[in-house]
Amino acid sequence: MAVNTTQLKKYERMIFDLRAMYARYGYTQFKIRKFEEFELYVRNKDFLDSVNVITFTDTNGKLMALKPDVTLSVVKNSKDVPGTVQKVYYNENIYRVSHRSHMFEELMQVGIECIGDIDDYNVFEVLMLALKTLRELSDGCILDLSNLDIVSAILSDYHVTEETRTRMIRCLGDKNIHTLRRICQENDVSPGGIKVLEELTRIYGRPEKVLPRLRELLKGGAIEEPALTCALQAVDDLERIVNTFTDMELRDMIRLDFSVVSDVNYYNGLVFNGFIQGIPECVLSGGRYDRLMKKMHRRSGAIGFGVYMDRLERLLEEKSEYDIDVLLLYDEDADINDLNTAVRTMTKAGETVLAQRRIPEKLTYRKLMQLKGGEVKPIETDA
Amino acid sequence: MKQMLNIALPKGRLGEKVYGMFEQAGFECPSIREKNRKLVFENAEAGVRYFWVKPVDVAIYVERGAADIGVVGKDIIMETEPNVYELLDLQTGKCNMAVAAPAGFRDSQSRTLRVATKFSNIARSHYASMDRDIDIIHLNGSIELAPILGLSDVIVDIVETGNTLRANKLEVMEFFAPISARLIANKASFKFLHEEIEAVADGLEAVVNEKMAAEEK
Repeated sequence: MAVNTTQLKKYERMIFDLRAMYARYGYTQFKIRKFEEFELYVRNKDFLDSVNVITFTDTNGKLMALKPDVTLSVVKNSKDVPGTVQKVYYNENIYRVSHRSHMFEELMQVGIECIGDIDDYNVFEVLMLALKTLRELSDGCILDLSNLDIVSAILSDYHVTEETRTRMIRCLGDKNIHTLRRICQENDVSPGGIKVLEELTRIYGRPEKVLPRLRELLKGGAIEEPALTCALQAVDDLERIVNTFTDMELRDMIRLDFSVVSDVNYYNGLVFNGFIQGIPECVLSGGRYDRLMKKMHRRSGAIGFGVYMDRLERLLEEKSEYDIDVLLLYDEDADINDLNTAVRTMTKAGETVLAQRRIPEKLTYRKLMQLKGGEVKPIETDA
Repeated sequence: MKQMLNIALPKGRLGEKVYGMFEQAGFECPSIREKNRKLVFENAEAGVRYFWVKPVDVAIYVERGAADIGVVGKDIIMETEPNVYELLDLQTGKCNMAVAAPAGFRDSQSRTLRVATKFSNIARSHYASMDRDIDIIHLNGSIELAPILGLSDVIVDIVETGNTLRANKLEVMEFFAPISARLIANKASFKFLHEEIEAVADGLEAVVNEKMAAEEK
């Protein structure tokens, strides 16, 4: 049976369109059951930000959890096959505690994962699909891109404790220069070193504007070897990837922002967040997570992203004037065959029909019809 | 057409002081000085639209994108942890988050400490950093009363001059976080209105630096 897409909501159509786009680039659907062993999430609780998950005991006594995330399941099911790359997309419900309501919510997530011997093309393809995903969602969109290796290299030069480093990264993520400055001063970071971090937090914009400024900043003398070489190498890597975007329409959506700081224990290299006009928070986030792969005893690398469909609800909302085209009233004596014929005639004409004996409360309809003596007659028309 | 920047200011004395800084930075809106019950004020030429909201709600307006930027106390940021950028310390509305107790109180590590506060999250994370077991008693006002009536051992609250504490025979045991007004920005607005937000942040930073330099003299 052919699918009548006219009846799909904008939100549902969008999910189909994204899935079709990922499939066109060779990504196959990753479908898993709704739950996993709780232990998987306990071992990687930092990756999830929290170990708040809905748990239950399975019939065999194992503690299970409703999936709060898809990436961990994809990695768990991946295999190390040298020279190959596994490409999957998913469209799954996940169960997490909302940071706003502090209650569990069922959230729809769509995304892709690319796992294996990742090369520059794979990185380019995932970024390109992230950009195309944003453009599918809205014309006004921006992808913020960073390379965590730049941040890691700079911080390695400051020889601070793990706790201080975490606080510094948090300030970078909040663009909180004043606190970052204070932390640096408390930890005897040189004035030049402080300036590098302050500028790294501040600079934002198109790659052609940001990259030269960043190189100049790094070469200013405050960062010493070997951190300097590592940082400059990471800037080169970032530039190489950005320059692969010759499609100006996509390239125009890229901004460099070093406040994109995913957990450095799991992510490395490129990380990115996508924003669309009219939605107050990021709607897409992703990056390279070779470190997570390593923690899960995989030798290969990985990159991917997820789209937070719940955050798009308002953008993809459709306001329909009516719940139904035709409300068809019939009485208790109506002949079932006559009723069936009347309904079928209208549905064949492309109308949505609700057959009822009484008018339901709060229902809005375009036409009100009545089946009487085998004939359908209008009672009232609100066209 | 110039895109308007929506700015949430905290109602009250701090808000008025902060508006003065925006004005000084070149983002004036004269109608805001008029005495009336209006809550929204606009200056299309300067590209700014101000609105007064309850201080504790500023972060919510900004996080949810109803305001592009706003000014909020660091205490509210620490308590509610909104997902926003904290762009600038405005160096005004300065005070400290402190632990206070009745004069002569001796803390015994052997029992759970009863802490009365309206900043439950701040108190929880402060004591968690010291691995200390506490019993949080969340109150909405007159926090100083709690140790006097034996409801709590200590309080965690904002201390500005210390006069209220002294009047109630309480003394500060520890200052643990400096508080002041901060300029915050919605993360998506920061991308789409970057130039406008940067202009305001730069303007305010210049005002802050000028004020600090004058104070140092």
